[in-house]
Amino acid sequence: MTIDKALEDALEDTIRNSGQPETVARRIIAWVRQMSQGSLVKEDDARFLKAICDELRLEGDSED
Amino acid sequence: MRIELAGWESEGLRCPDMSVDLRRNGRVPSVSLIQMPNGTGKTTTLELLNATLSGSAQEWKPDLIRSYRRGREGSVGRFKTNLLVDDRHLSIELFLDYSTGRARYRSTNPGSGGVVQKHRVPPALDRFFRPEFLRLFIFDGEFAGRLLDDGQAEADGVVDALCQIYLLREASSFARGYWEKESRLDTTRTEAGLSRIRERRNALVARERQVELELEKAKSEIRVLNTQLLELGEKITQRIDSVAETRKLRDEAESERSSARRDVAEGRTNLMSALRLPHALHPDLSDRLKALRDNLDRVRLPENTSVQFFEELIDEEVCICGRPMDDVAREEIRVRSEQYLDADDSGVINAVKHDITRYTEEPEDDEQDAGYSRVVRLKNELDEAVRRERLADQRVRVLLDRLIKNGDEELETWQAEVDEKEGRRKKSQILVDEIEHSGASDSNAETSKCLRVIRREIEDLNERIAQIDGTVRLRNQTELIASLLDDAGERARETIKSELLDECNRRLSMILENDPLVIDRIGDSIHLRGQQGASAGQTLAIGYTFLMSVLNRGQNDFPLIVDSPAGPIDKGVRRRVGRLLPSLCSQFVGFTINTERDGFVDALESMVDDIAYITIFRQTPGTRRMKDTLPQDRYVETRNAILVDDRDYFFRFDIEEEEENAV
Repeated sequence: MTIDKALEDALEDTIRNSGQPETVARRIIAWVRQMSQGSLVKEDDARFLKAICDELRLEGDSED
Repeated sequence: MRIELAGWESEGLRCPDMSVDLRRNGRVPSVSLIQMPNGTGKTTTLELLNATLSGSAQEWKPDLIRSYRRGREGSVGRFKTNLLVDDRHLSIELFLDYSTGRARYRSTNPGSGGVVQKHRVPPALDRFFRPEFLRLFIFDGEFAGRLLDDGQAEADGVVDALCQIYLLREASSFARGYWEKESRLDTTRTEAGLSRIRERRNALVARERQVELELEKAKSEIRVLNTQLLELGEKITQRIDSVAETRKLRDEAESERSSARRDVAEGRTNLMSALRLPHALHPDLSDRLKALRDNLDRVRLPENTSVQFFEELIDEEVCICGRPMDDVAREEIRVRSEQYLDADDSGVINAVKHDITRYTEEPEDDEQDAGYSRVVRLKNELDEAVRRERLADQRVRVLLDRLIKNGDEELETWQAEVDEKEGRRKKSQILVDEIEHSGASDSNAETSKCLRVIRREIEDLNERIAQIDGTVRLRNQTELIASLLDDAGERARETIKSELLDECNRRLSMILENDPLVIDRIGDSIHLRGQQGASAGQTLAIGYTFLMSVLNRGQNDFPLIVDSPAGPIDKGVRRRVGRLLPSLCSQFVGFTINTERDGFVDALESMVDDIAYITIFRQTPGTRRMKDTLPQDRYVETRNAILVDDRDYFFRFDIEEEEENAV
């Protein structure tokens, strides 16, 4: 399933500009693509969200 | 996802009874034209299409429901919409009960849940079957007008809905909601709250260190005092022993004190051991346990482990009672054994009864004692040993006092030192005991000197900090994700609007080539360059252009259903719109009147081959003569209408002419 290219580009640009790793953009785009199919239940959303959280870099986190 | 309108049925409503199937050889055509003269119920049909899909009729007031009744006919109106969702059937029926003024639904979804007596669409469709979304593809001229209205923000809504920006909004909303849900049980959810708990934990850690130092100091002091007291004790002993008379008395007293101390230690151990049996604490306990035993069921055997015993017993030559085992005895044992077998938990009951008997029975030997009487005896023995020890101490002290009284000043000084040091040692020992106490659970860690209490509280706080830290981190993470999604949504919306602006202007220049109109910008609404408003034709052209451009870039296929698609626009514009429409949506369904055909339909035909031409008109005295001209086998007659599925008839249909002829 694809989503509007403008959405993907906007997500990639916004996330890159925020200094977050590329994997964050990839995981958010994967989540939004799945959402667009309308087949996700709350547990699936939670799984995608946790996977994104795992990749996020917060202020004060070490670089490694 | 591809959603197609396959047809609809109506019965008992103010629009004619009809059953419309748009499919041709099982396929939904790209274009369907439904020709219905004014007053046949085009608008009603579109309203009911919208209401069946959105489920909104459940909120309708009784008066509105009754307004769909045709005169005073029937008590229930029914409208059914048939859809194909990715080629799978989905039907939704709306029933309007005119007597109760209530609406109800029935949904049929063979692939998911079958028939349910309510409005239910698959979860994937839920977001599309809402009124605000349905108005985009069940399109009317008013909606086109709202696109140009500053106060309506319709343009934003269209872009959000069809370019899936709502997905980012839903993801953002889920992220924020997820943290709320996860942290609901924890009232401390902020950095400030976490800081307060950390400060409290740090204060307790400092207190723990301070108490540890006090303990160390107290123990060290006790060690030093013990050494000093030992030395003083030796000096005092030597001084007492230097006098022959007192040495003998001191030896006797010391011997007695040692013996008494041994007895105290032994008596204390024995008493503690005896007290571990609960029935020995009080005579009533023993009596109550015996009463419990006597009231329990008669002894039985656990069946799963004991049945084998009886089976083997009847094979023996001699019974356990010593008598020979004959057939009568065997049969008796077989029958009676069942009275002694019970469920497996009888084993536990037997064990309880056995233990009560074993622990509470009186000893056979009269000289022995047990239970409570033994506890009493041991306590008396311990009291006696303690008394003897105290007495021996006093005897030594008396000897000491006697020498001091006889003028031994040095001894007096030593003894004073002993008293003073013992006082300090006692004080230090109290402090040590307090610090090393097991700690009551309700002790206040901030004021307590008990290390266990302080450490337990520090442990609890550490656990809580870890928990809150996780919650605070989760909040920061979900907030960051939500804000990234919000920012990306805003950025995507601006990009899409900018691209749509170019696309719309390119199409407008083609559609309105003789009446140039330029969109200046797309904000919340559409702003035209150099003019405030637009004519009805221009507005519809802009509405089509905008909606078609958005539909064209969307990832989902929806049918575009339009009431009077070419009504207020001139012939030239009709042609150009007609040529563009089929390429911009997967299914176009137009509800037309005969005057719209010119220019519009031939333009559509020039672009697509698969067009359904359906004409529907009411059966009235004025239209009765029209039945004679119906194409054979190409029409269906209902109670109050005629539906003709034929291209030629579609083109030659002219109700005004027929009615004039009838007059």
